[in-house]
Amino acid sequence: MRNFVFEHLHGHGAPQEKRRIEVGKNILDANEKVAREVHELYTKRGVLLVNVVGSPGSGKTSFIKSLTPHFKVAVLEGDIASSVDAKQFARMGVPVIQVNTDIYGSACHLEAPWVRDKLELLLEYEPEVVFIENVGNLVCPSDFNLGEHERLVLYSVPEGPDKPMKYPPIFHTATAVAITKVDLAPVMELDVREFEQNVLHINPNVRIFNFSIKVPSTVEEVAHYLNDKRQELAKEKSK
Amino acid sequence: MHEYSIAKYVLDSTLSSIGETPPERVSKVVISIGKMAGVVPESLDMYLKLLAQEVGLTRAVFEIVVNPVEFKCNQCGQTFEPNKELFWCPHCGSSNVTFVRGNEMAIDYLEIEEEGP
Repeated sequence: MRNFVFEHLHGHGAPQEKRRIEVGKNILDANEKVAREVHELYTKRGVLLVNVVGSPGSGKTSFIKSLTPHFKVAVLEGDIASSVDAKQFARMGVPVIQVNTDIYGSACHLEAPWVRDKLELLLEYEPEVVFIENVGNLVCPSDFNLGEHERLVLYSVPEGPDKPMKYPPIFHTATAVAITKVDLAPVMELDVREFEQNVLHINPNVRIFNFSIKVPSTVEEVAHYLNDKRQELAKEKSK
Repeated sequence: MHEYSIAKYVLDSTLSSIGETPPERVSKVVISIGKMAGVVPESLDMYLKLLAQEVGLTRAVFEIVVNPVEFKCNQCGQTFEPNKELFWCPHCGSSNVTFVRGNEMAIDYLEIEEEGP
């Protein structure tokens, strides 16, 4: 165990009596509380909430777009700036709300209190699945629960096979990992099995998909998985 | 850079824990961070230093304790700190493992200087 002691401004004058307050509280309690409320609301309504995380360019937008024929979808788009992705969904007629984090110090992730009202609003469209497209980042989103039922990590072939070792928290917290752009593996002379193995080294029980928007069967496989999760949710709702 | 957000949560939580006590009387805040929380202690400290002044925690010393990652093997029952590149059991090689701790982020305790006589 290492101790980092960072001393800021010391007290001045004579030594004083000190009182200790035991706190024992999760630092992100305030985020967790809101996330729990969102989770309960979505569970009660039987709407599957999926947090899609991954590096910039890993294919998050294309992934979500490819699933729109399979479900009645709504999308919450997270980006530091712009509405580039949100416009794509709007043109497709998919209900979408854009959150730009430049008003939150250009944060590299989304937090539950920033998205709760938007996620509540998206339910008015009566969707079957709501996708949160998180800010493109393989580090920061891992600590912030948004109330999702599924945390899908997208990991694209061009990123190379070593990412699970370099960014273990996000792979460790994933409920499923989709290795995207698998159609590029032969061109890049990369072996997708190595990607899979490295994911399993960090998260031995996670569900892994090989995915390409150009291969319809891979899209269908993810759609089946999400549909199974919807059925589980319906069972939970009826309890 | 999400350490900025985490620092804000630390300070909000500190202020709500001290109630009516003036924030300048907080002399120490002890925080524990799991190694797999994805937090850089030096970065968190930098933001705490900057932001503490703004909320009146002008005399607080922040102590950040970094906790190890711990898994339990469901096959042989041993607990272990995983190798950085392989979270499987180093004793029996099983991948049937359960995460125990190492992604926590907590405020453990605060120290308050009592008013002098």
